[in-house]
Amino acid sequence: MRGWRLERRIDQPLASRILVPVLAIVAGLLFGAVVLAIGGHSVTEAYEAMWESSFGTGPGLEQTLIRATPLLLTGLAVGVALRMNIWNIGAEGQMAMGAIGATFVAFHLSGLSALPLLVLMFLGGAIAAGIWALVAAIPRALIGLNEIITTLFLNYIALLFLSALINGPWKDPSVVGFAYSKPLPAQSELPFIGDTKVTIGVFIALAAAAVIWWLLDRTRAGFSLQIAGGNVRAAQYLKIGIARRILFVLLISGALAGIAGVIQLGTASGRLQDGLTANYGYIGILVAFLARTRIPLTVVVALLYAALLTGGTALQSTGIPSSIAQIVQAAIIIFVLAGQVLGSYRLVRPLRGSAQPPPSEPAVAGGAR
Amino acid sequence: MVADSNTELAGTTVGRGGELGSALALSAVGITKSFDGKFANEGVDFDLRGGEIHALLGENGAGKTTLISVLCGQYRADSGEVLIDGVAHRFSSPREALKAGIGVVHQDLRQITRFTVIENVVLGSSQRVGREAAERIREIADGLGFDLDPGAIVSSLSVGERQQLEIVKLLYRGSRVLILDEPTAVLAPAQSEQLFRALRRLADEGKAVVFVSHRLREVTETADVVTVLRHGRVVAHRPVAGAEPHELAALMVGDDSAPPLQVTPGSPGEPVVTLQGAKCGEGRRALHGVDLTIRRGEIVGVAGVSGNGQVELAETVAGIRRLDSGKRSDSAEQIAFIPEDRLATGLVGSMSIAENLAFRRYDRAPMSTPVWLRRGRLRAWADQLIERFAVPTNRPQLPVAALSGGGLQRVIIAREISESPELLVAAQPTRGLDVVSAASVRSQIVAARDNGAGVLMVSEDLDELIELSDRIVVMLGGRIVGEMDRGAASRAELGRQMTGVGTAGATA
Repeated sequence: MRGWRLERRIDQPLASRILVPVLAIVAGLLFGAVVLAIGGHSVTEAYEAMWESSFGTGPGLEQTLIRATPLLLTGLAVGVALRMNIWNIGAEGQMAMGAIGATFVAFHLSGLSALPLLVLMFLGGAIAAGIWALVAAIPRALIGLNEIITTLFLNYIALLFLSALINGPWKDPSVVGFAYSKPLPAQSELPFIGDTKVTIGVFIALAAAAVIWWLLDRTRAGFSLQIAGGNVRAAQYLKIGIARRILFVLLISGALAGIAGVIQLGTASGRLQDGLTANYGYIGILVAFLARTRIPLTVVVALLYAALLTGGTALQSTGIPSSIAQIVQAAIIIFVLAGQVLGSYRLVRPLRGSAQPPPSEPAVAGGAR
Repeated sequence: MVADSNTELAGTTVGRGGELGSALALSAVGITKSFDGKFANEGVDFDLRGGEIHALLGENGAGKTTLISVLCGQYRADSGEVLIDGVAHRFSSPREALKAGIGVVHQDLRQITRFTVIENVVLGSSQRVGREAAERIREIADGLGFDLDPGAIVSSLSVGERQQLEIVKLLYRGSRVLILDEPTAVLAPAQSEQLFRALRRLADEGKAVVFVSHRLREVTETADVVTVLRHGRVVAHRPVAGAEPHELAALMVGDDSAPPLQVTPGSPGEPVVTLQGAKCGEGRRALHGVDLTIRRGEIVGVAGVSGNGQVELAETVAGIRRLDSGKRSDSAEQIAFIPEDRLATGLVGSMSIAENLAFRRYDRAPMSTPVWLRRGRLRAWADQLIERFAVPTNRPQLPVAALSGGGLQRVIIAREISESPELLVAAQPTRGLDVVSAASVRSQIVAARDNGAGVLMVSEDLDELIELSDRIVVMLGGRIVGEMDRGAASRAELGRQMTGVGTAGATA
């Protein structure tokens, strides 16, 4: 390696942007293969099971899409806040509040027919979760209270609040042993697409992605958000108010996570229950990070991550212990993350003139990666 | 071991001024280095003698940094060799070059700011942090007239002190060739003088000193020998004695195309902004009661040693900083501001060049409707500015951080001046720019004034102030301590007032 050196680059060519993550996934799979082999398991069998359960078969693909839906929404939620350099760790709790809000609507407006009820449930869920996010956003905007801490701890409150509801006022007394809410009205269930198990939630999530992309790239408000998120001082001197935008972005972020909660509610057993959020809020942080907050990339990452989740479950059903399945999953993610960092550099061999002019350090100001 | 070689070298003292007779400390022969088929250095010969201060002059992109990088082992030349004491070397890392006695003070002082001075000096050597090291550091620093506390945390030091630390570090490691890449770009005039005094002492001890500069006056006043690079080739290598600044400028740019700007006096009209008893901030970086009126059609220059309230004054006049007391009133609809630190204040590095060019008008028609942003119009506007202000890019969709310092400055100036401002505030508008870029920026500023803008220009380049300003105010300790009209200002007078030596006519 003598003479070789890494040089940071500002503009990563398209080929490398595609090739690097693909190679990283392959490297992760190879590492996983070694782990599987050491554990005495058949590598081909394991990966075959992973493939079939995620993309390779119809039911597998359905499972992947079902999991990708909330992941896309929470990934968007975290990503949009990150554009303003706000870390929303609270998507998990906001999902719960979204589900609670929608349940509240469903119980109180059970007389409505399916379409208006569903619309109002989504609205109720988004508003409840948005307001929940504001609980962290307001002190952040006004006195700079660290949102990482507040959003994180609000998760526990939201999840316990959900528990309290299904063990208290909304408890279904006919179910013994488990805490469930009373069943939601039948028309509140999300319609399936054709004869699959996938609900129209997929389309809602994709529509949300499109709307957020438009908001950030094609609207005035979105443009000013990017300035404010990219460089606070530049925003100040352009008289772009920061506080207002922190509120706005966390409201949107919370609403997106809330919609994920409503979809989970409409996809699950038609009752509000513990475990409904299934860590999707936390995984959303990873999704947003892997997608570098880019919206189209978030769609891809959510899908791949969902495949990894279904594949990991499938591994366990072939008799591989869950610990090894998790090592394989984690290896892939770590390799992709490492690839992402390395991809923003290039190898330079100083012997020959293959590099760019002198090391004018690209001091990229602020901004989420 | 390091200290030993150092004393030994100090013994080989050569006469002052680097007469041609003294020994060659370093000699680069036929250095060629290309990037993507473009020559950054083409057959460059560079001789350096012990005991001389050698200025390396050239425009941005002339190949100075490439040459330095080859000398210090950061790049390997495609061909050519570096001889030290007659022995050919091919360094494959700066570490090897440092071992051979060649040290570089980079522009972006590469230090660990959380560490102390000693730790930074010792880091990477086999020495230990201890009293011995501290004494040696103090000794070197004292010898150069630096007041450097070995125990101080680097982040608490000023830029000037951090530069001193870098020099001390190289000497500690036994460097006998010191190369400084644009050392004065970040320094106030007084600090520069201190630096040059130290460099002279080093040369007197027999060390060879190279510094890169755009400031011709520094070269003529400080250096013994100058090498001028243009388009990667050496166009001149000569003693400084007898060289006129304008000759050197001509060599640098290739012809006499950048003569001093002939600035016609402005014709001041109505006041555009007025400060009365303006106070803000604390300590030195503050305003302690400033009265100032800027009229349409005049350039008011602000002179002062860095950190005497100029930044605060610029921000206050631009209306960005709130006053603690006093009054500010303006009658300007459009205020343009060219901040001192372009990337940190004026631009968003992660956004594209085109987007950065649109910051002043993205939020109104025709570039946007109340809701939507019209990307096509944004791009068209950017293309127009890139053309008009010669922003050096053919890919406006790239992040703005990809541009060089001069490119960044052009983006800001294009964006700000294109709004036909009634008030233009420019802080260090030409700092770090090459001669041609700086001349272009100056003429843009004059053009803005001639279009009726009131201009406040903060600059540490006194020649620039004298050349452009219709009126110069001098700041010291957060107050305006002097004021001079065009024609009445001289470097000497400004220098006295800036340093508080005081003369008749200075008002509190």
